[in-house]
Amino acid sequence: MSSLKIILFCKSPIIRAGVVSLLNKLSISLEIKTISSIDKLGKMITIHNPRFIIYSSSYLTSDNIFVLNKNKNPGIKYIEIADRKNVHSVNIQSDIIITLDNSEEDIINTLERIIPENNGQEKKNAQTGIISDREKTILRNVALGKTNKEISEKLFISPHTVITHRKNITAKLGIKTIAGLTIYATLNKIISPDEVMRL
Amino acid sequence: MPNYGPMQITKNMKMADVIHLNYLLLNILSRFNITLGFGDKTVEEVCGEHKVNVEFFLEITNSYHDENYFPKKQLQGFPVHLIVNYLKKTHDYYLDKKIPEIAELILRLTTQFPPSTLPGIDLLNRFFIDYKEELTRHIQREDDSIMPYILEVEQAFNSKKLSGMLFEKIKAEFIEKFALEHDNVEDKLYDLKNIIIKYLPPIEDQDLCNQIFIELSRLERDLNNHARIEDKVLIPMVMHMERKLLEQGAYRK
Repeated sequence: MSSLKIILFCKSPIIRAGVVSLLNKLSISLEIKTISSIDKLGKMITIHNPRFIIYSSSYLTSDNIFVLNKNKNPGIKYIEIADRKNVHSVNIQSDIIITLDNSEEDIINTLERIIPENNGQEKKNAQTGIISDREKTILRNVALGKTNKEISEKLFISPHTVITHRKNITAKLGIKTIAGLTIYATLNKIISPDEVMRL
Repeated sequence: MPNYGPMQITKNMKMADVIHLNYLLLNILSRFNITLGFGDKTVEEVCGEHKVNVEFFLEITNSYHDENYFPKKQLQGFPVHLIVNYLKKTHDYYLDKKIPEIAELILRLTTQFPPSTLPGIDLLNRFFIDYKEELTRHIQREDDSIMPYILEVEQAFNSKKLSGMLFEKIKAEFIEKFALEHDNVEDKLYDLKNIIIKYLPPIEDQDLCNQIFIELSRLERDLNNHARIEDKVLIPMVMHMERKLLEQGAYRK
């Protein structure tokens, strides 16, 4: 099984060691490359092809920020480590921010939220493409042509949760479009052909 | 940096060898109106006979042959109407040839299942008809509105004369809006590929499924290459010309 690739870019050895130790508390197989100088970052991104880049914002200046921006790839998620909340020397669009005064629990929860497939069973299902009963319910509603908002109201869950379910369904099945999902739902008798209003 | 990619196509190669190297390039030939029967002639000779700009032909074939070969700079040196013509030919190829062929194959596939055994299989035809409409709309918008606009900009650029109407369009960020809305037409093909290899029950005529899968993959790759030329070459070229036109103050009341 392939492990999740992460680049950790930070000058301070204390912060680097701390982040690695926290990452290892997540129940996922990780491949972490640490670097201390931004000069190596561009090359490292090309070689390592990471899913996540964790970086400390305190060493970014307007002179070196371009390395991160230039390599900003839609497939890579950025996790920023900031000294305190809302203090960024230079702004790049990070997906999530961790601050040095966060508790261990906060940080782990945050990381678990952004790093997918943290649960062993989920990981297995993601690979075998088995969708859960809850996901089937969501899929059925999608195939019926319901919007995220309608689904969230009907099932009493937040729209955000609906979106997460939909992302997981797409990842498991390898089907992105509503029309494709509708065909899948029909073939698997999650919805009957007569119920399909439009693809 | 050393190039470890596939062998690059050059003008001194024999055209026949180019096709042996990558038979998918056959598709490109017809877009340039190059016919078969080239004997031992080189790429340059064949292009010369068919009045095709050989450098342009090489850039297109190489970028098609090797996804990592993308000479933005070189392609950007060609007249825009060459690129526009090529893209239009490609559009015709999709709509008049590839899409009807695949639709026919899918129709054949759906008749392999008696409706009672797999209710909903008909939806597969509807899926592809919808896709065809989506792609047609996408292409028509480009052919009817974007391409004429681009040619107009090129003409203004060459003559250094900008009409009031074109000036307003540039100001209204016509091409930027197009670039933003340039939507993805490959997702549905990807879905269909997965439906065919993962989710349809096996049928006796597996060759048919294989064939559909291969055709979809080729179309997907072709569309991808096509979109790259539009987004990475054509649009930046147009934006460059627009900027120059505005800088030169080519529009005078």
